Amino acid sequence: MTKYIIKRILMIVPIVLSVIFVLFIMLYFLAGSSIRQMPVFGGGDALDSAFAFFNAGDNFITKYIRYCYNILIKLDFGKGGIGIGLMRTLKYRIRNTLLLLGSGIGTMLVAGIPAGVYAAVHKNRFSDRIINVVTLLLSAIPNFSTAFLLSLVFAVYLRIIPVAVSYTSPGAFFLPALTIAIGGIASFARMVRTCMIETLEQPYIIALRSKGLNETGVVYTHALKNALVPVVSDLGGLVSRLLLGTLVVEHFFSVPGLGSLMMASVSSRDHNTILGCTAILTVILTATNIAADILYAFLNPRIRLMYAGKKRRETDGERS
Amino acid sequence: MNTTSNIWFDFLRKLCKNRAAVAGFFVFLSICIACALAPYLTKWDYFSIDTTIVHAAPSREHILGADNLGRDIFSRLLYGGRVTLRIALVSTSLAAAVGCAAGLIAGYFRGRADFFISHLLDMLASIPVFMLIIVTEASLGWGRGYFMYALAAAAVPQFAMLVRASAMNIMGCTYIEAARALGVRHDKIIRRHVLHNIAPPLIIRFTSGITEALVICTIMGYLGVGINPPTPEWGALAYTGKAFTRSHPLLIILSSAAIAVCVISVSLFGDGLRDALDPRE
Repeated sequence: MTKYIIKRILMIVPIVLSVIFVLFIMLYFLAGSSIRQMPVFGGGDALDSAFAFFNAGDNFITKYIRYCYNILIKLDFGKGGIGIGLMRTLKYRIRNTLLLLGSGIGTMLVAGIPAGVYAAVHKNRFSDRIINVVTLLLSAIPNFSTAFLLSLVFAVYLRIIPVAVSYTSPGAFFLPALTIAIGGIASFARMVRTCMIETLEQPYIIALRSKGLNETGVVYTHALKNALVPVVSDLGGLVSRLLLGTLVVEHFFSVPGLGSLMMASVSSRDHNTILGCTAILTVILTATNIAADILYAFLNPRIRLMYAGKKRRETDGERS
Repeated sequence: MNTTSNIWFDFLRKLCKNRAAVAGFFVFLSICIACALAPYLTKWDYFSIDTTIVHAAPSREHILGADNLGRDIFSRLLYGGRVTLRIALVSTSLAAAVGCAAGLIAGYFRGRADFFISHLLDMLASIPVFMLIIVTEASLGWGRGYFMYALAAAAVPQFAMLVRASAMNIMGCTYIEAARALGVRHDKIIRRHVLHNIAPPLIIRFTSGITEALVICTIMGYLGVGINPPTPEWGALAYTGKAFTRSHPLLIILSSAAIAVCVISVSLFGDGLRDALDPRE
């Protein structure tokens, strides 16, 4: 199992490198550089010297390798458009984005599983219908509309939580995190419900029931673990959707996060910042995917066994 | 031929029994038709500014009123639906076609092609969607519809992985082996056996692909990526409406509702399809 986990974690490096490579190609060959837009370096000789200053004249592969070496070994992302070291800006923004995304994922798991299980157990009853309709509605309403509704309710009518605040205290993140969580909970609960219903129809559940096991034991000890296997394999897609939601929410509540930095740097054609943000967001996304994979392996004995030691596999084989 | 048509007939009958799915299908279809027929349904265009009717309330002339520049909201919604739905439908179809081809090659022929395609797809799947869109827009130029292709590229891995897995499942069956032994050509096996078996999961994936593309497209419109201002797009309309929520909330409510109704109707239809195509019942 440890071998499997280490192998999966090491996979982050080639994935991030290849993603940067693709974006490097797109930005390098296709776009105007931000140097051209700096008024100081108007054109002609001045432009040439500027290119020399920023090492822009080096060939593509040299630049790529140097960039990868810098971010992987030295954790140095170069300089942003205004000449400040990018790492300093990024550090602060990574914290904000991770806080939003993490609380979104956490709330999604904590609230989505019970809601989905409850709906599945009470299938086709009134409470299931209610949960079904509410989750369908909430998962369909776009993120920016949820953000708008929440800010209207909490900040304008109830006047409990202010909207435009400086993001220094954790309380300020309540509304943005809630917005991200709502969409996540709804889609996650629907997924859990579908898979749970399928699992509850399996023969081994009937066997457990006829053995006289109480309902809580059947549902939470035996069925839930198996029902979560397909859900976990879809978790990666859900997280990438939450990341998209984070971008919108950062924009709406003007949270200084990676998404808003990226939007700003796209309009100022600040390629280094785009690349830096992309690299970090890819690491975040890949890391959550890998966490989902590892969780999948924990839940699914087939994969766990595949990577268990040879001796263990043999004894397990004898037992079964 | 007779048996295949019976299977599809069975499936249609099952689908028609599911009222929610049928309703979803017709709601989405009527929205699509209404948007397609936009020039015939309203006499106003989506871009002319009339400063005398800024923020006008709904009236007989302007059914849903006018926006902050005095443009008819109803026609902006219809023309906006054209943009949004076209992007969602075209990008999903494109992704389905490319993903299906790539998945078939990888799952049917295996070997080196499979290795190459799988790793390429893994890499593509780990680029966050909006990053791909933003970088495409930043490098190819803004607001010229290029992000449709980025959207398609981002959706390709999901289709291709699905097709690859289903194809590999079918390749284990003895009737494929029998067909190969009889000397049936590859393209015929793919058309007659593999595609028929892949169709159900692919159709279901297609409906959820449409909702995902719709959501991403409106988010990009809201953020102002890929859609230039005079062009109406549901997300962009919501962004315009956001500035006037307290005094004139109609625009943001209507555009959000349009997005939500489309997403709900397509996902209801998709749920119905999944139930009807489930072989276990």
